[in-house]
Amino acid sequence: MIRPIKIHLPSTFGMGELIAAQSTVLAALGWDLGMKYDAYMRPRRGNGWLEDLRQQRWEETRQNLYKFKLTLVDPSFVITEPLKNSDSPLRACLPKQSGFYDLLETAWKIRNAAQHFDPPMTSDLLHGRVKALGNLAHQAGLPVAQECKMLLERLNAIGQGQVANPSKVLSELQERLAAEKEAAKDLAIQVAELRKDLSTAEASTGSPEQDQLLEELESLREAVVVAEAEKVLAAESMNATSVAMHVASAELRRVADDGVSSLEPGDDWPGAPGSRILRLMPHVGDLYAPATEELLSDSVGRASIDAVALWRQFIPHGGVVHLNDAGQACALVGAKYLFLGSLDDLDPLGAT
Amino acid sequence: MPAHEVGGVRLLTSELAARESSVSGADGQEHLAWIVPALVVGPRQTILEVEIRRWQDAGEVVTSSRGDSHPYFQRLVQGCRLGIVEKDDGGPGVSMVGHVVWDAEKEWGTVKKADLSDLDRDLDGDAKRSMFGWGVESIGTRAELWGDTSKRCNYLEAQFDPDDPIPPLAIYVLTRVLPVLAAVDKAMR
Repeated sequence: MIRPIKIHLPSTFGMGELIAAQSTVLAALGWDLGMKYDAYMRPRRGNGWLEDLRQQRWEETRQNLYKFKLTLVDPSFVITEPLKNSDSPLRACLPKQSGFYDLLETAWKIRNAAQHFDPPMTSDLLHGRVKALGNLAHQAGLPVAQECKMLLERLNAIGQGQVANPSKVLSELQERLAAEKEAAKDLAIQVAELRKDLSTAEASTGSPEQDQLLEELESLREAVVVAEAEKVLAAESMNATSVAMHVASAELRRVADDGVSSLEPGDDWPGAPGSRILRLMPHVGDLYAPATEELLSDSVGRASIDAVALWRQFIPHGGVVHLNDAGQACALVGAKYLFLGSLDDLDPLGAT
Repeated sequence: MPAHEVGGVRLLTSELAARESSVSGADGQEHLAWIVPALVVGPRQTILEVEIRRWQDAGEVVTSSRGDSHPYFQRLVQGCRLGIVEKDDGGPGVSMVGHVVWDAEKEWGTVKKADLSDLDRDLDGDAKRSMFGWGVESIGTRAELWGDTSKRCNYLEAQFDPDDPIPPLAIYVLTRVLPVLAAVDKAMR
């Protein structure tokens, strides 16, 4: 099965981009390990191996991880199970060489630290973590190892000043988000249809002793679990792409050359109004871009929401707003164009 | 949050603009609600501000402003809300899926019982499949879904994750906005 998540390659050292990269590495590692376990376990322990293992562990340990149905590709499960249980059947398909379990222990710590954003993300921190995770993936023969290598190369390139063109990055990210959105929708339909098949099959299983029927049921259940996990991963991937888009658009505003300096909100706007036309929607609390039929928060994140809260002091019932490439806004108030403020007044880093 | 296509209109949800606020529900009670706003844009210069308001065990989807959209949409500002119920047992959120039937003579719309073929017509497509795409987990009559035997057992009901704002917002657009937009289209031809 093709992994529905690609590792995010950052274009800057913006914290949002680095977090997006780390998040996708962990999700991809979880996916690759989960699929490796499944390929090994299914022929040996049957289709229900995951649930059997969960029940066994729950009875033995009462650990929360095993309390509810497991997700095969959950990074927490795929790392913790073989690491913390010396009798884990999953160890049989993992490398035997010394040092592998030290790497798994490191991965476990990285995953926990990532959950709590501790310490704050930096390029050096990400570099170290990706190196360790890439090493683990390489030893275990996982496809994500190659992508970790590409990510390390990208981090080195950014460190040497080879920053990608932000407008190109932004349009690439927009395309990727549109594709991910389509994939997420297909997955949602797939999950709903599988659930319906499962419910029909369960209702029509009159003779539970029929092994073949039971096997088909179990295989449908597994298919539902896998499809649901894919759906969760697709949503995570979309979030990571959105964050990367917010950072890339902030970078575009930073390098724009049409910024006007020394203006305070409420001052007369000195030149021609910005060419991007938006509409401030007072009830939604966001800006709408009619040309692209999207909300500005989709591309710039929280900055759009914060801006509306401030700019409404000048246009309380909403209206047309002109934005320049540097993110500065003006609007016709009475007979004059007034400077409303900048998208980056509250959020200069473009963090969301 | 990316846009969702519902028939010929776009539903743009602004989850970053979500907020908590006190609202007066259709039950006449004040509720401290979690509000997720959205914009509905479509042909005939339609631009509606809608929002989902969720409180402890229930909620609703309403239109908060029609802006410069056709005056027919004032009907949605005044009523035709979509009610949401979250079950006590932690099960899925549900909405009763009726749809607006527009009376051209009276220039007035009322929410009436719908079946899937009505919704297919409103959408001009496969409504059931589209709803799955918006995150609806199941849709059927109340009798089919949970064996209801009351006099409303033949009413359509949709079940979804109660924390996900998209399914009820998209159902609202399908069952409220699209029928009114069709009436607007007819009136303006």
